[in-house]
Order: sequence, then C-alpha cells, then structure tokens
Amino acid sequence: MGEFPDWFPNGCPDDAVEANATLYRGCETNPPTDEDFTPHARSEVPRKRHMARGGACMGYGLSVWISQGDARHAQELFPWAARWHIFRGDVTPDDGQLAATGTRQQPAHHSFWTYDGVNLLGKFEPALPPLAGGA
Amino acid sequence: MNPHYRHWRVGHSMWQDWITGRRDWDLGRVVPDEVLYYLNGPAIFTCRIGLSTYLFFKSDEYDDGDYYLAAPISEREIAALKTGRLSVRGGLSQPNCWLIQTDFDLNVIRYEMKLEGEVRSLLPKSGVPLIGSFTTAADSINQTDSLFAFKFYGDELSEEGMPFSTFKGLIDSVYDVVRNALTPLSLSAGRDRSFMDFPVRQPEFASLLIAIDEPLLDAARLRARDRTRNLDPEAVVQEAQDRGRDFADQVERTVDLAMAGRLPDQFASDNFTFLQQIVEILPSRDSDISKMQFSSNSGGAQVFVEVDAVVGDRIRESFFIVEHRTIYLSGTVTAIIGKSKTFRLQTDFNREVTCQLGWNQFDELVAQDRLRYGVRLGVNGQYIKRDLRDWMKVEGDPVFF
Repeated sequence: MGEFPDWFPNGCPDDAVEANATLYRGCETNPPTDEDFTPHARSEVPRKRHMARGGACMGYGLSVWISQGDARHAQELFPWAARWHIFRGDVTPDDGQLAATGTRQQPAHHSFWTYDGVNLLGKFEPALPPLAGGA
Repeated sequence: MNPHYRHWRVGHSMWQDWITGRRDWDLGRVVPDEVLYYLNGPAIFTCRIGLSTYLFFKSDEYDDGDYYLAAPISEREIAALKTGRLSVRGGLSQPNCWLIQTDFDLNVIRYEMKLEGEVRSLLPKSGVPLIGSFTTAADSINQTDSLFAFKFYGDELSEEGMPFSTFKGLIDSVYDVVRNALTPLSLSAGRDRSFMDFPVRQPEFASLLIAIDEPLLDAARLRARDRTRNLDPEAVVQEAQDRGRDFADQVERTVDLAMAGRLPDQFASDNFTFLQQIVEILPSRDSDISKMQFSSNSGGAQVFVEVDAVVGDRIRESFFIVEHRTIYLSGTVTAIIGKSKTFRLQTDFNREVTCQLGWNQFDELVAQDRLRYGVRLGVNGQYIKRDLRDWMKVEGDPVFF
C-alpha cells in the first residue's frame, strides 16, 4: 500500500479505497500538463487554490468520473466543462485511492487521491475532445 | 483576465458582453441549501433568498469570479429536476432570470435581473438532465405532468412568433394524433367521439409546446344517445387513459427501434396505422421542424422521448417502404356493402378503409354471421391511401377478435 504525501491533512482521505479502475479526467489542454493532474490545494491557478483554501480533503484529490458518459454529460451541461479535453486512464491499487464524492443526482462523480511519488500524467490518453460549440 | 483563459472566451461566451449590473448586494453570502451537482465547487444548487427558493447554475468561471444564472424555482420543479424528468435548462426557464457574478466564496460582486429571452444563450443546452445516466429530459414543467405533451423545435419557431401556417399545421396534426390516440373504441361510431374533449394548456412559444390534460367526458350527452346510454362514463374515461398509455408505449418502442436503424419491415407492417398517425408530426431534414419531444404521464407511468430529424426521417422512410406492401390493419366493421362484396373498417386510429374480400369469402363470412356490423377484426392486405376512404385488398382470412 502506498503512502499519501506528507502535505495531505491528517486522516485524508478517510473513506477511499484502492481500486483497479478506468478514470476520466477533464484537462484544460491537450496534451495535458502537470497542472491538470495537480490537486487544487497545490495548484498554481489562484481560483483553484482558493477553492481548496478551507483545507477540506477533496481539495487534495482529483475530480474524476468513472464513466465516459458522465464526463460527456458534464461537457453538455456546463460551458466551462465543454472546453475541457477528457482524458482516460487506468489506475491500480499502487496509484492511490478512490471514493465517490458526488451528490445523489451525480453518483458517478469521484475523487482520486494519488499516492506520493505517483505521476498520473503519463497514464492518461485522450478520450473525448472539447464539445464543439460549447454546451 | 488570465491570458490562459482568454482564447476560450473569444466568440464563445455571452458573459463577456455583460457589462451592466448592480454592485450593492446586501443579502450576504450565497449559501447553498442543497448542492445538486458538484464540480469545481457547487455548480448547481438551490438557495433560499427572501421568500423564494432559487436554482443557481454556474454558467462560467474566470479568474475574476464565477458567473451564475439564478431563477426562482418551485418545489414541484425541484422534484422534477432531481428525478431527471426536467432538464436543467427547464429548471432555469422562468420569465425572469438573474445574472450573478460571485467571488470564489460566493460573495455577490454584481447582479442584474434579465428577461428569459435575454439570457437564452447563457442557459444550459436543451434537454440535458441533471442526472448523467438519463439521456434526455423535458425543457418545461408542463411536459412532466400533462397527459400528453408535444414540443417542437425549429429555426422558425421562436418566442417572438412563428409562421401562421406552421403554427396551424402543428396544431392540426397534434389535434388529430391526440384525438385518434385517445378516443375510446366505445365512442368510435358516428359522432360519439365528440362526447370527449381534451383540455389544452396555454401553448408555450420559443419552440412550440402543446400540452394536453386528462380527457373530459360529456356524460349528459353520452346518456342522451341510444347507442351510448348504457356505457359507464368512468369506464369510457379509463379506456381513453389506457389507449393513451398504449400510444405512449408505442411511441417509445418505435423511437427506440429507430434510434438503432430503419424499422424492421414486419414491425412497420404490424404498426402501420400507428405510424400513419405519427409521421405527420415527426421532424424532418426537409421541414421546419428539426426536433420533437414527446412526453406522457398517466397513472404513474411516464414516457419521454426526443426525436431528431434523422430519426424522424428514418421512421418516415420505414413507413413509406411498407406502405405499398402487405400491411396489417385492425378495427371495427362499420358497414357491409353486399353489392360490391366489401365492408368498411374503422381502424383503431380512426381511418375508414373499404376492404375487398374474395367473392366467395365475403358470402361465406356473411352467411356465417361472422362478418357483421360492429365486429372487431384484423386483416392483412394491399393498402391504398385515398382522400375520402382508404382501400385494402384483403389477403387471407380476417382474424376476428
């Protein structure tokens, strides 16, 4: 079992599990950059860092979907998500831990907390382009 | 603005055109009551402000804050939204809608009320439900709780108006479909069908939405006519509702099949009279109607389907292919014409068809008293559509019900 970075809050995450899973991640560029796989809490982008300011554990994970359909749904719903490139990658128990973090209406939304030293960037490949014309 | 984001915005979002708005918000920070969709923070949520509950939708995000649309929403609409029956656009489609810019802590920086028509380009895409596993959802609450609702989309259909001929054509077609789909067989003779009527809700423009409520039966007229005086009014209404459910199921089944490809010939032949009804209202690449949503709510059963021009044309093509082949019709015999050895069949979708039997076949069935007025039967044969009364050369023996 891997270890989380020492900059994670204590006990974070508390209810996630290791899993073999295919994950979908919205990235701002193609090819993606390290920034696309950096948790909000460590992001260089002020708005993202601000969102993680409260210190909640979700800010240390990556927002992911576990189905391509749900990633497409987000693109169709939100103009800002329509601009994302959706990347797909397979993770193993060696990479980190996964937990459902959506709402009742959004059960497919998950967060993935990456173990220390794991770089997900190379594991992901293009799955969906930005939605033409936006949402 | 962060230059990294700038290229996204060019020609893309209408938010960059929003330069007005007030900056004197004094109602405190926006605190979501219920987050319905979380992505990069609360993206869709409800919030009670004053006496009303508002639906907030994060329409865009920039370095200077988040940009929301917010519209008052009823409990009924929230329930429909959360169960996937109402689209997010439908939840926000109110006469007035607020544009709100917040900082990253949901403190309101700027706000302004707009008419729905002014914010349409900022609303989420039509038909996208809150729940990702649903393929589509209605854009109006009237589609979620009326007996039948037909919503038509097309370039010529707008909030400001539409060509009169288009409006009349759609109203006439929907009227025929509704009446033929819902009129009970017990009221199919003569003018008995006029005993039942269907309340229509106020049509909605910006597309055209025609929503029909539960049928109303004129029980006094029903009792006044010899032919119908023994009918139980409740049973007649129930029959109409059952027919409505069957019709909705048939629409759903047909669209499901057509999404995958051309309808199987056997299906098109067996459901010929049903298809004949709906081809008139289906969208087409050659017509002003590019998309239609059909919804039905009856006795707890709900159907919602969306038909685009491709699927509409596919159903229409399947119908035309079998039109000149052997098809199946069912209905009630309304006349026996000995001179021409034919009988008239009123189909279950209210078309009159003159049916030609073989010479001996006709005589035998009449002599056996099997072919008589009022009997229900099904026939296969070559069919010709005509202006006054359609015609069929029956093949094989009729099936008597």
